[in-house]
Amino acid sequence: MLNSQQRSSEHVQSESAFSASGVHASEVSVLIVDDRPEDLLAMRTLLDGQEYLTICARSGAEALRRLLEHDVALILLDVMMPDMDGFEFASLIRQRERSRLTPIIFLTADSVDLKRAYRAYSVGGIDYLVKPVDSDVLRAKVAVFADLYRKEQRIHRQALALQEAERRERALQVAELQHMAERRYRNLAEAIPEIVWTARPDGQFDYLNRRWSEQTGVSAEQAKGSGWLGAVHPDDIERCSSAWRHAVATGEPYSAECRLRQVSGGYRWHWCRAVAECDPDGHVLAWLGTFSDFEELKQAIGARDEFMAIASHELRTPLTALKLRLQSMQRPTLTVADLQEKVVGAIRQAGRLERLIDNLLDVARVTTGRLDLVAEELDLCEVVRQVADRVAADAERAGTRVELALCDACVGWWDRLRLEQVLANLLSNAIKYGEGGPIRVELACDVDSAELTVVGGQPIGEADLGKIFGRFERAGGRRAAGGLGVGLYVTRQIVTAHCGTIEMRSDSEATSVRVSLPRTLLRSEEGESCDGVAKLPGDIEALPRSPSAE
Amino acid sequence: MNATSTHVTRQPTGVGRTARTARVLLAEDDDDIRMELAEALAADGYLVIEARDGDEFLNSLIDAVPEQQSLRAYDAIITDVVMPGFSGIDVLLALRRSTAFIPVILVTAYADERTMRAAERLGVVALFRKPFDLNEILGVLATSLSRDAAATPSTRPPIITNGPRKLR
Repeated sequence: MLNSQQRSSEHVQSESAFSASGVHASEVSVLIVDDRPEDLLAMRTLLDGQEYLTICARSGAEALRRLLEHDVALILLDVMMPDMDGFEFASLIRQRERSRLTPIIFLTADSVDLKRAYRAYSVGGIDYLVKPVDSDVLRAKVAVFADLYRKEQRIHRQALALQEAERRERALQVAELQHMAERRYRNLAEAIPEIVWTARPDGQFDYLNRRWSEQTGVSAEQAKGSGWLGAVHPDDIERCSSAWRHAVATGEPYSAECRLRQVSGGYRWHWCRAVAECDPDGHVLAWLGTFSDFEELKQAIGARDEFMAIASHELRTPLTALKLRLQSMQRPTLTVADLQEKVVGAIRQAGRLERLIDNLLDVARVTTGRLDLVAEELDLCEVVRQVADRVAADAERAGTRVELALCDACVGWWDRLRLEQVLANLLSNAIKYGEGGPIRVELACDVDSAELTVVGGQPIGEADLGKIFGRFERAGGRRAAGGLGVGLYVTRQIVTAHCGTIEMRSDSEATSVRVSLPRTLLRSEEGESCDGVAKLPGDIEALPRSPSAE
Repeated sequence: MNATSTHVTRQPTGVGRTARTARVLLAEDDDDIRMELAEALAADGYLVIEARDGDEFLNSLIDAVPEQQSLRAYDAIITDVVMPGFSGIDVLLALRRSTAFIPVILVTAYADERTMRAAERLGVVALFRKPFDLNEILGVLATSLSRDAAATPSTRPPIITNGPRKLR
């Protein structure tokens, strides 16, 4: 192996010697290897003017170097050279892939020596010529190989061109497929009933689907970059964008809740989520995100939390009273008479707890639209009397009594237990909020309907009247005997399910509730399908909600 | 309306543990709970002054604040937190300077973080979560009264009992 200094000096030498021939890689070259300069010159002269370049080397080593630089069509190789003879050179270049098949014509000054000739052929020589060479013969032979080389090169180029054409065709097909897939996904993104968006790795939005502008009224162009934050509620922007910056910085999934301004006015809660699309090395290529409207869910969660808080408070209160009562009964100083009295109280408190639980379940049933009515033929007068009897004790404790003004009989198809509940609710309200004032139940009946009026209870303000049938609403400040604030809500749902109407009036003297019930609507099995029942769940959303008056 | 006229006062029905009859102001809007507690307190020898809501509670305290700003009309206060009108905590916070020397026991169905913090700030003796134990509340009351005689109120730590929701 030559050291680099030697190599470069020899290289310079040979370049300068043959620069006149204008060695060019793309043309057909013939390598001439001979240790004798006069033979080299003779050979070059002989081949001059032909359509190929001649590259000369004066030793095997130099020839090897030239082969590293050029592909040649043919090697004219002197057999007798110092250091490395032609045979050694030939067997060496045969081991190298690029020169393995390069044709070699051996040249020798010796007269025909069959042994050498055979050796020449055995190392891959295709011809064996004795100097002095007949110039026409050599030119003809070289021309044949040069031509062969040119054809080979052409075939090779054509093969490459063919490959390239195929590659391009494939690339086109792939691009078309990609385009189709992209279009498909865009179509998909446009069709999805949610806001879909994509963002660049740096967090700038670069696509938002149609739904975005339909909902927010902000065009996709305006929303690109950070423009989307313009549609976010001012109170949510900081939280939303800092979470987004964090996600972009870390590549972690993005999740934030925010209110989006609606083109129809107001804001709706959205859940904003995004995931990073990564290459196999984990580098973020893009962000894929959605805004999901969960306003209804948010409201339902709020209503549920409110319900749970109130229910928990309202259940704890009678439970506390009952527990205290039972614990006070453990005292050793109590007489049997004391105990008897306390047991009565305990039972009453247990009943209060039971009613609360029933009310809670009713609210759950009504809210989920599962208020089933079991209709039977009954006399409403009878129901009124029974319920009035039941609440008589409570009324007495409150310093009042329930007066009845009933017609003779009022028979219709109704759900007995549910109507008892309506009456009990109305009467207990009248007692609770009546401050001892008189309470009166009136019942009138005509061919089609029954009209029930409960008069009693303190006057109620205009504002309270508007929301009194809502869930968890209680009029006024003071809570005489607790309660969930659901009585009138459930009452109205029961009346509506009977296809009836309920209204509350209040003047400076007293408050009255009037219930009107059709008498025969529920006679048939399918009678329940009046509009009132169908409207039940929807009604709930329309109700005003505010914290109960506590 | 004259507030004092609405106050229900329950005389002790049993013998107390201290020489002097201790006066307990009891504010609770639920009639049953208030009645049970008042009866039990009276049976333990306390004089019970009842308030039925936040407004009555406030009136009971204002009426009792004498000229010298230190309230000695009550030996102890037991109050509900959530009541119609003023909340028990609001009243105590407003009159903190006058009531600082009186042991306070809070009872509530909503033992949320805000209530806990307010209780801590007020330095209450205990916060009971409903439903609570009758004997426990009577025990804490008796202890706080005997301790009240010895300890200075400013260093009195709140002892919070009942259930897993302890303040400390």
